[in-house]
Amino acid sequence: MEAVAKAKKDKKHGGWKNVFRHWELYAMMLPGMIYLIINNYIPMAGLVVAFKKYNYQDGIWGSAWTGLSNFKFLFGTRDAWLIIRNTICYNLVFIITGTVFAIAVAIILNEIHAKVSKKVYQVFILIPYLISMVVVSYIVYAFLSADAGFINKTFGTHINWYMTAKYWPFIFVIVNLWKNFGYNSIIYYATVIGIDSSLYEAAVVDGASRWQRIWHVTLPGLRPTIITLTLLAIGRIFYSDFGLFYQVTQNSGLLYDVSTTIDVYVYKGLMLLNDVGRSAAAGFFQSICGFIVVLAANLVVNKIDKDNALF
Amino acid sequence: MVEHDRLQQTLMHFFMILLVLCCVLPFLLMVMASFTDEQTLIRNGYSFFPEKFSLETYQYIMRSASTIFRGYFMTILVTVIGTFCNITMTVLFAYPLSRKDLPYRNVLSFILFFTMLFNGGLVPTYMMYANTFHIKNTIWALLIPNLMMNAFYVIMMRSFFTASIPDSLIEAAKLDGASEMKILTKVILPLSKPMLVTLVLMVGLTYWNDWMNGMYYVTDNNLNTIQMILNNMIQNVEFLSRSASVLGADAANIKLPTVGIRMGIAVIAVIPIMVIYPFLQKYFVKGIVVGGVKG
Amino acid sequence: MKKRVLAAALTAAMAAGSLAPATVSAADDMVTLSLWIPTLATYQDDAVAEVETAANEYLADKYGLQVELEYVEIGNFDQASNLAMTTDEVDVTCVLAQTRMLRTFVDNGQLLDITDYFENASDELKTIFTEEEIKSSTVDGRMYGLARKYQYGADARGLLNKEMADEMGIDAKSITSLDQLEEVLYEAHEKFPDVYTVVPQSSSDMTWGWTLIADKQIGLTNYAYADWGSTELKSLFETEGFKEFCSYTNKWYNDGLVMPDALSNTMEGSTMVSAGSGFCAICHGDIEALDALYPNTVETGVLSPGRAASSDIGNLQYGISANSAHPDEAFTLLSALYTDSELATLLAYGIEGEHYVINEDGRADYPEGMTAENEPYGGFSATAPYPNYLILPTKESANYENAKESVDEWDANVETSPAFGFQYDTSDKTDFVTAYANLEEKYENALLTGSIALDDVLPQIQSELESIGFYDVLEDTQAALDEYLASK
Repeated sequence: MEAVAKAKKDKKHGGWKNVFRHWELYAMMLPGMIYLIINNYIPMAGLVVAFKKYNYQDGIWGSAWTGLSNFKFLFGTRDAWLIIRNTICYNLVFIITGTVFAIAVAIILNEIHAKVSKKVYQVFILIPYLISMVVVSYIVYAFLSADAGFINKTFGTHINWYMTAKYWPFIFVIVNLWKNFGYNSIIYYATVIGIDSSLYEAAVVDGASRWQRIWHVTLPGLRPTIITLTLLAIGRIFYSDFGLFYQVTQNSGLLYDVSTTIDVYVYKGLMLLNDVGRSAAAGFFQSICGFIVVLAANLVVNKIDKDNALF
Repeated sequence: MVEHDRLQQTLMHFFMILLVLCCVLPFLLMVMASFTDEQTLIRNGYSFFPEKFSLETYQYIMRSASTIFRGYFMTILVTVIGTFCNITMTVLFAYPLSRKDLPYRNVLSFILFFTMLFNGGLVPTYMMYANTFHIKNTIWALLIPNLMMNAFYVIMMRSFFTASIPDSLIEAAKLDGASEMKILTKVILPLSKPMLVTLVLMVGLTYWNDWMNGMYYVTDNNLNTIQMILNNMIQNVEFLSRSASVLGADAANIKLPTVGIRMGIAVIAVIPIMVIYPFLQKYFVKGIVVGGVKG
Repeated sequence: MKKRVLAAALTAAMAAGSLAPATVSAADDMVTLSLWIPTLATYQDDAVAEVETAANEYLADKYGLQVELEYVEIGNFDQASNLAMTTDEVDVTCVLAQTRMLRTFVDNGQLLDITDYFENASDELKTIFTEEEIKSSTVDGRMYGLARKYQYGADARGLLNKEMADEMGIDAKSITSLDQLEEVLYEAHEKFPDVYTVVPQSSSDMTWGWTLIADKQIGLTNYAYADWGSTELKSLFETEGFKEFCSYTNKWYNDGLVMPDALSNTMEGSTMVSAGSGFCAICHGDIEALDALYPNTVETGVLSPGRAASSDIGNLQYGISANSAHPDEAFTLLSALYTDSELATLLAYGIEGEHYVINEDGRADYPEGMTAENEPYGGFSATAPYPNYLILPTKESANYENAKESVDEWDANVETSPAFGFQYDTSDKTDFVTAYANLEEKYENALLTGSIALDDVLPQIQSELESIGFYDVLEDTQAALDEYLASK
């Protein structure tokens, strides 16, 4: 109590004294700070490449400025609209389905009594996360191959999956869910088991059914986690899982319209032209848009639920 | 009441078992593919019950045992060192941020968070690490770039500290004359086991799965991790499928790793995690809180 | 706790020092050059170290240089070398001009202008390259690399599964046209209904050889095509050759001859044919015999004559990085790679006696008991990436007596694109180039594998081409081409 009051007083008396008093804390942050500067902030200066025509000989600083021409390909063309739409829409669906599913699994794991089963389930549902996306693409091929695939063979359908675009939005959602739900459920599960058990006991005393317990105790307990993770995911809404959209489709041209996201598009361009400026521009675009979106979302959260906003 | 509960339990178990099957069966398919004779694999595709078994894949792996074991060794080494360093830096950064009495805390939080959104890009990062710090073809290339500290995990840790460590504990320790470092190690860390374990798992997985740093910074095969070996194989296959005409007849002479071999390597990359994870699980006793009190 | 942390930090720092790469220099005053070569086969580290030491001994004596061999897996080579070229790590490097045109590398400022070096070089070096190869290394009149010596282009051949072909009693070599091939294919489909009669050659690429289809990448652009022998530029989808080829494959696809998943195939056609899960793949051939390379296969006759498109000559180059710190020495090394057969053999084949042996007939073969699988120095198994294989001892497995003679003969008979040498600068049209690439990718493989019919989608393709401004650009390109041809 006293210490807090003292701290408040010191704050009014000017920063430096206060800063020096906490020198130990700042010292602790030093390694991390140095790392952030080296790993993140110094290279950030290189973002200027987005506005230049990068020449290997001239380097980052010597290359000529080109203004916004590296960004042109992201606007105005038919492809630009397509890739932005794809990226955002898929991410929205991924966030919603991923969160709901992970929470559901976490809650179920929590509600199950059998201790050993719980652990066994948890171990196995993590497996998909560990398999690299390229290998996943082989597995998907094993399922969706037109003549020898598991689906066609078992259900007798004759769909040529890799040539029909309309199924793929669903396939992407399923594969993304399959790959990530086990991993995502870890955080939620760890949070759920930390919810104060006395809250549950009180609910039981009040005669709450399992569903009511979940609705009134578990979910509110998860709220901060859900909000934080969702906000963070929204910040990355302009990025996508390259492996999912490029490799799982086996790069089939006929699926272009539903499978090209910003990252895939930029990668293909890079392969073709090796234009460093362009890919930097795309990254810059993704960052700025993500930043704006997350600020907006954070503002909304601030209005509704101040405690849980990111900053 | 008990009946109702039994039914619910059964349903939940049923649901989980279904999920587990969805996760395990494809993996089993991979495993079976690695045990399938190559020709059969080409002819009949993947199957749970291959016509012809073959240990060829694993024989190949044993033949390249030195490469594979070295890969394992590197993966484990990188994961252990990396995770240790990462967690240390994360904790050291997160703890001060969780202290409400730290001046300019919000500024520092923002500096941290900002790095999640903006990235300098590959070329500037590469130039700095390769030119200024000369980490190419050293083990540091596998440890440092983009992996050594991650704002996401710092934020998670910070939130945990804020929500779960009462100020009174810290006050009491300070009254006893403890230095910040002592407070951190003697008071905070023991209470943070679940969070630490969760982080160890997540950071560990990140290091275990990473192959990108290797692709950019390492050309010396001695430093290959398992994931890099797998990735190299796959990249080679993809290159040849795109541009093989450049290599003409020689393309025939190369014994490209077959699909079975790629599966085999993918399988052995996954196994250690499956083995270690159960041991980490017992620390999930008390939970963690992510998000929560602002700042 | 503090002490322990400090101790740990010190150990880490020392470890960091010891793990840093030691600079290679046998002698202090000699320049060490970094030579980047893509690898196809496995190279054991100690084998590479041995070869490097031997090479350095030789280089020190003869040229006063040292070399550091950087072998990078070919799948990663493009990415790794591009990154490395942003700094001075790279001196002499292979340039995969197949992945993207040489001009792109030049526009990015990655390669050093070596025109003057070349002009002042020895005659020995200059006579190695044919006129076409020199043109392929030239952008806007300046030279930026030296072409890898290789036969021009290829012809189209079918590769059939030997067992099935024998069973059917056909004489593969007598098949010399798509119509004849078609007959055989239908026969095979009837006789072996469980086997994919036609498989794509490499993943979803129906055929490696464009000799059956159209003259491509005219002007070293990605969008200009023409029918073989003609200089009238068209879009790929409107060339006669493409239409014809696609009509064949579409028919085959609809009749069930082509594997239904051709588009997403992940296995190599020739491997499938060898294994017997496919009957025929349309490959390309050149001076090597295909059926000797792939077990259990037999080659058909030539389905189309040997042809070389603009991008088929010099599709692999060796150049000097623009950021190299020692350009003069780099050029010395570069020319030595092409002219000095002892050096070239050492680098490509390894150490005599250990990695390869010379037989009584003067051919190079694996040492006793060694095969491609356990060869520690992969260069001997896969020599294609090396600069000049014509000055290497002929391999035992080769289909010819003398490489140079065979290549010369082949080159003399090959139909080179009439537009060869024409280069059209598209650096101000990058948006168009990207848009076209994406468009082509959407339809090309689907049409080539016969999965969709060209007639069905041609109007759509044409309208999409129109919307990205294709026909205007084509007109300009045609005008430039006509000008170029007139001035020759």
